Amino acid sequence: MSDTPVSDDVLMRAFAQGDATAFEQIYARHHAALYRFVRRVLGPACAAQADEVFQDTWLKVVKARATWAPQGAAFRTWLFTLAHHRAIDCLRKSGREISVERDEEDEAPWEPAAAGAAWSLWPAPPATSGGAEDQVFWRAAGQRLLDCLDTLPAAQRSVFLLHHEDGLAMDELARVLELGFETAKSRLRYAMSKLRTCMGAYLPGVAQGSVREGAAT
Amino acid sequence: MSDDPREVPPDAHLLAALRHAPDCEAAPPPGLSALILAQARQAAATPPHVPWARRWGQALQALDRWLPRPALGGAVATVALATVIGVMWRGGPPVERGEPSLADATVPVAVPAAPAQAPAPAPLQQAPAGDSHNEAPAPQAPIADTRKAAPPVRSARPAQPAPPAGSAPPARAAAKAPAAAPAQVAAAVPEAFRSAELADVLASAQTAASGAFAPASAPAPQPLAAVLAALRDQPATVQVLAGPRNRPRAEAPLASAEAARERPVAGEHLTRKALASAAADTSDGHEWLAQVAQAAEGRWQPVATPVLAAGEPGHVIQVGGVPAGRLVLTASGVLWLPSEASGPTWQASLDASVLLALRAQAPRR
Repeated sequence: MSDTPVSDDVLMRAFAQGDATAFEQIYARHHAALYRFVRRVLGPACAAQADEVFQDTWLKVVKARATWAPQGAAFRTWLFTLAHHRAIDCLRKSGREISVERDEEDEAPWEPAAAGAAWSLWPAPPATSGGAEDQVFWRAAGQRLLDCLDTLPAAQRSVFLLHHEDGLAMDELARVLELGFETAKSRLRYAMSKLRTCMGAYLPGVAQGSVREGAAT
Repeated sequence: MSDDPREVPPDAHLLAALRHAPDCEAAPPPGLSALILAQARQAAATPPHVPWARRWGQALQALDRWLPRPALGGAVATVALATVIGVMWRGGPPVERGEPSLADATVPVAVPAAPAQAPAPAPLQQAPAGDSHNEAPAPQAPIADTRKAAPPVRSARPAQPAPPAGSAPPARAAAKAPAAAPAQVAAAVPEAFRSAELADVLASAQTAASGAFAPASAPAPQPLAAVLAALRDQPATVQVLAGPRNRPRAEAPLASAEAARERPVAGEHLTRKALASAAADTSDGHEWLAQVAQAAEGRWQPVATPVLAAGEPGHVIQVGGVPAGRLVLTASGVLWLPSEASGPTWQASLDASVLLALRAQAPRR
């Protein structure tokens, strides 16, 4: 017997043929990451609607079980795209969606002149699990990042999250979001530049101390 | 992540911060997960409804994946082509619109018809020009003219079944009106024997003469036309027998002129017999028969009571083994006595020299 896990495509076909356990396996694989993605895209202001968006996303999967076909994209990508569109709809209805057109028409995002200037005073990211002190530091950095994410427009936030958390390549990112490649790339670069600035990546002497202060607050 | 140079590499520090964010352990409420799973189970228990549009879309996508294969594409193209050709040929082969062929020529002028009101035993007269269905056309019209100016007759009217002898419709009674025999048809017979196209024209003429046109008209003024047509179509089925084989027509009391008018004309009857014939007899009198028809062209007249002298047995004409009539060379001409109840008697006056030549060439036993 092989221990290779069954792919999402096979499980979806089995679910379409009436196998409810196949859906349970898919749900077990992706529910945590999807719930996290939805919460981060919506931000704390719309966190109350995260459950609704999350449920609607899965119900769309259930309804589309018979018509779903792996058309070049992985099931996970399709799942996160569904959640992204549903979250953007929710933000539009709440009036919190911020247009990114003005950003993208302005000059290029600010980058330090010297290569590697960012994070020069930060400790290297842990490969796996570091020590207790590092855990505290990076946990505080994570909280700071969530706060910074909340300041981004929803479109840039989604692009950054899909790229960094879900691991989508740029061309796939552009395709699932129905954007041009350069547009998607520009949004990602803006999001990363803003997050670095917000995190103090370029400020000497701000690194660990500011993060720890932010984490303490 | 791909190796595309345009790819934006993820920021390791942002990625590490993202992985250590406080909401990493966030999970949907258990109740929400239970609700979603319950809905999924309920949906799995019922067959999914796939809209028709989606099914067609999937079928087209599958077809799109298969069609680029040369073998399948060729097969589909062949089936499509066969379907198109089959639809086009459903009602028969397409009619070519090029040069009109002789097969399409028709012979309404070769079908002389008597006026409906014409007196029955009247002598030969010219039918006035006019309606080609109810009035007789020019009886002397040569067959060459019919080839040029004739509309299609093949599909103009369907052939009508032969009425039983003695039960001709009333309209046929008027068909006994004397009309000039189109001897040109008979005159063209030898040539027609050599020309398949002219044979078609003659066939059309005989079909029309057999009563396919308006019943008020009088078809077949040429008594021997039907025999000649059978001779042309299937020469082996026409037999010219010398000697008194059958009972002379004169011995049988011929019907009166009125009764004769009620009978179908010989041409119509014999043509149908000839067309229905399938026998394969042989005879050497074909040429003589054609000569008689050529000599008597334009001279045929109906005769109510033919007078036959003794010693004039005549020649029995058989079409497919069935007696069609008797051809008698009399002292003044030639007499055509159709078989019983098949039409009136016709007589053509001939010159003595012609008669002599015909007698000399007549087939003998």
